[in-house]
Amino acid sequence: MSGKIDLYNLGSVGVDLTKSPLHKDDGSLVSAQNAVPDVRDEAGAIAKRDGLTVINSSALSGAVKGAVFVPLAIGGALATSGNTGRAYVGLLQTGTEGTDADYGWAYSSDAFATGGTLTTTAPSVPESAIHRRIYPLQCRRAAVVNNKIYYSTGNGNSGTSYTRTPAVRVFDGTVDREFARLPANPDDTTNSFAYTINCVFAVGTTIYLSVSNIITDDAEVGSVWSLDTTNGAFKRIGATFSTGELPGPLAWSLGRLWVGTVSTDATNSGIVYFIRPGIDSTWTADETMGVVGPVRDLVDYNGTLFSAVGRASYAITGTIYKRSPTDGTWASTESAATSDYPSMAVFNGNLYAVRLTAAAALIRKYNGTSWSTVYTEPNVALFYPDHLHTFNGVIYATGPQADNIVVGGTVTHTITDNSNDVITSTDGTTWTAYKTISTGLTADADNNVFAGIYI
Amino acid sequence: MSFYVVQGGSSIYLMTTGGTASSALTLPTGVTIDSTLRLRGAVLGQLVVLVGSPSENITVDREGVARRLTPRPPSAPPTVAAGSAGSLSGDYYVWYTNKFKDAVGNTLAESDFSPQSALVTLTSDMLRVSKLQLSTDNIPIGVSFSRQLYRSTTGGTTKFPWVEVDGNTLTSVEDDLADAGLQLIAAATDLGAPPKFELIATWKHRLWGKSYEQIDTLYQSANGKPYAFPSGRTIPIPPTNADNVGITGLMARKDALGVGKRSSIHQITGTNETNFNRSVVTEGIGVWAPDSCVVVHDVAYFLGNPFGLYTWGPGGVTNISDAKVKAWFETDTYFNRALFDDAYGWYDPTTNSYILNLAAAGSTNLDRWIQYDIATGNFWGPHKTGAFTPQGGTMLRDSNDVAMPVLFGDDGKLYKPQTTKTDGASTGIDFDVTTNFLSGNSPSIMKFWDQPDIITKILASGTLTITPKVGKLNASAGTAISHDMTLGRERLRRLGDGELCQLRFQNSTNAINTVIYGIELPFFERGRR
Repeated sequence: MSGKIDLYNLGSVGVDLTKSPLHKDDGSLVSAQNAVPDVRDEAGAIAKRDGLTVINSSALSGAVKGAVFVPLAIGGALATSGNTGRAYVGLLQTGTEGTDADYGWAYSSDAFATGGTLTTTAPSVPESAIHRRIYPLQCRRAAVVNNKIYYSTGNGNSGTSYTRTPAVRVFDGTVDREFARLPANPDDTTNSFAYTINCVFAVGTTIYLSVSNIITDDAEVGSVWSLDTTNGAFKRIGATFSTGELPGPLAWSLGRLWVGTVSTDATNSGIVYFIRPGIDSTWTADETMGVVGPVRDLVDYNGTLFSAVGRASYAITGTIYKRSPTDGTWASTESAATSDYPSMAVFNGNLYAVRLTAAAALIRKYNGTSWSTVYTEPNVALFYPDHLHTFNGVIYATGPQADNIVVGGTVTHTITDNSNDVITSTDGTTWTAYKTISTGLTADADNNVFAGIYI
Repeated sequence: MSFYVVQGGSSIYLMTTGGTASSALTLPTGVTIDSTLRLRGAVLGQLVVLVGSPSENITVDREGVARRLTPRPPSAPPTVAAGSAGSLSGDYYVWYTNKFKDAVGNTLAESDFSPQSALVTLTSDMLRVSKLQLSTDNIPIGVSFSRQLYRSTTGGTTKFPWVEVDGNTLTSVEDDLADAGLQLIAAATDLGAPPKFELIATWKHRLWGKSYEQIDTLYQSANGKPYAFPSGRTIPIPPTNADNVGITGLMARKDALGVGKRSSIHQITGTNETNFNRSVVTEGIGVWAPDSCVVVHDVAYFLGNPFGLYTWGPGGVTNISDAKVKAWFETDTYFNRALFDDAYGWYDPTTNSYILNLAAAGSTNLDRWIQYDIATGNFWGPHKTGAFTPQGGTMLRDSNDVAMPVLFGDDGKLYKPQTTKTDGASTGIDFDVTTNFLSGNSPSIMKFWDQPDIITKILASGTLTITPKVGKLNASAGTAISHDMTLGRERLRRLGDGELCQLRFQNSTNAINTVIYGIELPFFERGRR
C-alpha cells in the first residue's frame, strides 16, 4: 500500500517534546533552532530567524547587563540632530532699528564654532530706539520656559508716536509669535504707551519683567510684572517705583524676587529691593548700593545674592556686592576704579563677572572664596564682552555687534561689524578665539537676547 | 527623542536611539556598579530610577546627571535663635530637608525631615537659623540643590514651607515671613528614604520595590514621588522568613500588582494607600526568575515553580509549557536548570512572542533563547547566535518610537533584528530544524521511503542540507542531501527502507535565508517485518 505524507504545516505547530515520538502530530518539530514561522507573506512556512545587528557600533566597557528605555528627550552632549541644543541670539540683521523685518535670529548648535545660521523668522527684538531714551539698562531680555524662548520686544523708533505697549514674544525654534502684550500701568496717566521692557527673568513657568515707561523725558517710572506662561496673564508685582527710579535686573533668592534699580539722577545710587510675590504687596528696599551707580546685574550664587554696580561710561568704581543671608548685611567683594560690571553668570559651580574699563575687558571668576581673572581681552578695539550667558555646558561671553564707546571725549572702543561677536568656554578657564554670530549689521546691536533650547 | 540607560560592565551610559553612547556616567560619591548584577529600572514622572547593580538607588536625568534617588536627610536639628530686628513674635519650631531640583526649580527629590529644632521665642525679631548641615552628597554640576526650611506657626507644631536656601554652601539664614505669609498647605507627610532595592516596578503612579534586607516586604512610594518612601507604607508578603530569597518577581498588570514568591503568587489591588490590599492568587505555583516577569496586554508571563512557563491573567495562573515543551524545564537535557533564576524574559512585538533567555545545558551563560508565540501557543527554538553571547534582552523603542526587541551582548553591544540573515558583522545564522519521526500512521510497518519533493522559497543562492534518518527510533543519520534553494522545488533522492523517517534541515551560510514551504514524502509499505 502506498501513501504520501504532505508536510505543509512546518510553520504552524512548533516544537513538541511532550508527546512520544509516535504520538506527535506530523509537522511538529523536536528542535527548531533559529527557525521561526515566517510572518512576511509566508505564514505556514518555516524560515530562518532575522539576523541581529548592533545598535551601538562602539562597544561599552563590559558586557551589557541591562537597558532601560526612557521616553524623555535626551539632552546635553548627546542631543542628536532631532533633538539639538541650540543657542539663539536675537539681533538686528540689516536695515534700521525699529523695522520688524530687519530683525531675526542667529543660532548655532556648536557654540558658534562654525558661525551662526540666520533664520528667516522675523521677530521684533528689543533693540529699538525707545530703549535709548531711557538710561540704558542692558539686562537680559530672553528667558526659557518649557523649552521655549520668551523675549521682550521694542516699541518703535525714536520719534515715533507709540500706539501699543511692547509685547512678549515666544519662539520655539521654528515659530515666532506674539505671546502677550504688556498692559498699561494704571499709574501711568498719560497713556502714552511709551514703555520698554528692561529685563526678562524666569522662575518656573512664571516670567518676571522689569518695565520702564516714559511720563516725561528724564522722569521715567518703573514697575515689575509677572507673566504666567500657562495662560498669558500679567500681574503687576508690588507698587510702581518712585519717579526716576527704574527697575532693571531681576533675581530669585531665598524665596524672594529681587530687583536692582537705576536712578535717572546720576547722583543717586541704585537700590536692591525684594518682594515675595503673592505674599507681599509692596517692595522692601533692602540696600542702597554704596557706590553711586546703577545696579547692572543681580545673581544668586549658592544661596547668596550678588549685585553688580557700574557705569558704561566707567565714571565710578564698579563694585560687586554680596548679601549675607545670615544677617542681611551687604559687603563689597570685588571692585575696580573707573569700571563697569555689566553682567554676571553662574557656571560650573563658580560665579563669573565681566569687568570693563576704558582700556581693558576682563572676565573674572569667583569660587566662593576669592576672585581671579580667567580672560583678558588682548584688543578691546576688536572685541569686548559685555554679556555672559550659559547653555548646554558652555559659557558664552558676547560683545556688541557694532559699538562706539566714548570716554572723556576719546573713542575707546570702535567695534564695527567685524565678525568678532562671541567667545566661549566649556570650563570657564580656557576661552576660544573670536567667533561670529552674524555679519552685515548696520547699527548697534547688543547680544543680550540670548537663550538656548533643544529642538 | 527618547534614549536608553545602559549598563556595560561596571559603568552606566546614556545611549541615543541611534546607538551613540555617552562616556561612563559620573556616579554619586561612593556609588559603584556591580558588574555581576543586573541593572533594573523604572520610569515615574520625569525620573529614571535605577536599582539592582548600583550600590545605591540612583536616578539619571536626560543629560546624564546621576544622583541618589533620595538625598540623605539632615541628621541634626537646626539651631534657632532670635536674629536681627524683624516682625516675628511668638514660639516657633524649625525643620529642614535637602532637595534636588531641576533647572527651572521643580523638585526632583526631597529627603526626609531633619530632627525638630528647639523651641525659640521671638519678640519682634527675625527668626535666625544656623548650623544647617552641608550635604555630603556630591552635587553634580547642573543639578540644583537646596535646603528647604519649614517652620511652625506660632505655638503650633505643623510644618509649613518657609524659606528655601539654594546651594550647598550656606549654613545660616534669617527671615521674618509672617505666619499669614506661609503657604496654606502644610508640608508633605509622605517623605522618607527607601532601602536599597533589588527589584522595582511602577504601578498606580507609584514605585514598588523589594529590598535586599527585608526580602519579604513590599515597599511603596508616595503617589507620584519616586523619591519618597514613607515609613509604614510596606506590605509583608507571606510566608516571611521562610527562605533566603523572599519576593521573586513583580508583575504590574492594569488593576493588580503581582508579587511572586517561590511557592506562591500574591496580588496587590486598590487605588491608593488607604485601600491597597494583598490577597493570594495561587499557592503551590510561584515565580522562580525575577527577570522573567513580563506583562503583555495585561497578561503576565514568567518562569515559575514548578519549573515551566506560566501566564497570570484574568482567568488565573496557567501553565503554558507542559503541553508542548515540558522537557525543556523538567529535564537537564536542554538547559542548565541551576541558572533558571537568572532567566531573562522580554516581549518581541514584531513576532508577538514572549522570549526567554536561558543557559544551555552545561553552559554558564544565557546563551540560548526560546520563543513562545502568544497568538498560536507554539514554541520555537532554542535559538542561538555565534556572533556574541547573549546576556539577556528587553524591548526598547527606536528613533521613530517603534517597539524594538533588543539582545544584550557580552561584547558591550546591543543588538536589534535586521532582515538580513546575518548576526553581527558577518556571522551566519545556524538554522537547524528536525521533524518528528514520520510514520504514515503505521509505525510498525516497514516502508520504502521514496523521493521526497521539497518546496522552498526561490532564492538567489543557497543550499539547504537535508539529513534523513530512516529506520526505527534509533536510526542513524543517513547521507546528507543538498537542496538547491534557487530552484524552488526539487525532487530529492530516494531515502530508503525503514518503519519511520525523520528529516533534519540545516543551513548556516552567512546572509542566506531559508524558507521551507513544505515537503511531500511518498512511501510504499512493504509489510510487517
